[in-house]
Amino acid sequence: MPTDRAELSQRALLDQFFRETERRAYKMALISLKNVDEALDAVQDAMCNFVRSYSNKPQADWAKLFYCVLDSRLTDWHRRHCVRKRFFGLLPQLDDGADMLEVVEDAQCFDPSVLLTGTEIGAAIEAALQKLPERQRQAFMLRLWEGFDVEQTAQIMRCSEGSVKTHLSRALSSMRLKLAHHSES
Amino acid sequence: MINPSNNSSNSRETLSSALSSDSQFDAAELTQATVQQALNSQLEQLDFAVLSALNQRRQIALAEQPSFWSRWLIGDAVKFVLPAAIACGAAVFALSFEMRMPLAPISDADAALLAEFDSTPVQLDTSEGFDPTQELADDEIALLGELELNGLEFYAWLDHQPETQKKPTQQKDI
Repeated sequence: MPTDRAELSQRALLDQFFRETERRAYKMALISLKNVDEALDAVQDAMCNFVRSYSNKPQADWAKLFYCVLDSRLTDWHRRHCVRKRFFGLLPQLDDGADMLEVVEDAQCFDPSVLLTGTEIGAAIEAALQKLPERQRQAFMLRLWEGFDVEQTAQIMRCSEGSVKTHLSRALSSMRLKLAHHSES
Repeated sequence: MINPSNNSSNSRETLSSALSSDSQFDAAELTQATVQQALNSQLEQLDFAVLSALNQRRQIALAEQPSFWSRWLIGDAVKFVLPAAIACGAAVFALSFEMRMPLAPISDADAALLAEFDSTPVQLDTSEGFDPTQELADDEIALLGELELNGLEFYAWLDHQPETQKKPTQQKDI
């Protein structure tokens, strides 16, 4: 059956595409969400949505569309998290026996596991990226890591090219400050 | 080694050129190559559990691939067939509604007038020799057509005419 054969080849192409992009997507989600399980869920949701809605699009557009879906997923997560925090933040948190010192974020200290497992620059960049605002981080990673141009980044982030440039400019300034602090220490 | 610069004018120049071009940029040695190399090295440090989870989730996602018919249903059907069906349904509904639409209600004054007409028997005035059963002559028909009047208006008009033009049937008899 030609239809079955076409579906099989389509599945193989999708499999290959996901193999190439899933690690980067996971890393992007992990830096944004700061939680392994949430990051894996985000990548899976993005993959499922992409397969359902965009797998019939031209293959040349797959990367852009996939990161667009992932970007929407991450933005949605942050919005939901914000709303949840606004409503439930007033309620007293249940004490599950966790040490408060483990929860409080130390602005001067990077995650030691990140510092140990990666190279020094990579760990420093990743730690600095985690402290950036969401949109600046997306612009930075899409432009500099994924290598999309300004127009493609604007399409993925669904904003104007000027906004992309602004986000990237602010991200670079912020990254420079953070990395300067790191290099001094 | 990362060497961030705080020189604002130089930094702004480099930054603007970097932002306007799609190629690599060079702002305080934080180059695209540096970022890519650094973050790619982080990718290689992913542990086996994460890679295994990613592999499993990729298989789940691939199983979501819609079949040919479901793709057709959510693609072409939604784009073309569904709007056409909705348009046809709307046209049929509009036609049936038009056909079933009742006459416009009449006012109380009109209703009273109609009731009065219904209760009054029609009496033809034949005192002056007018015979309504008599067929109209050709010139009368032509006159009616020329004046584009209906019957009642024609007689009202006739009452206001000079004596010589009145009662064309009688003139014809003479």
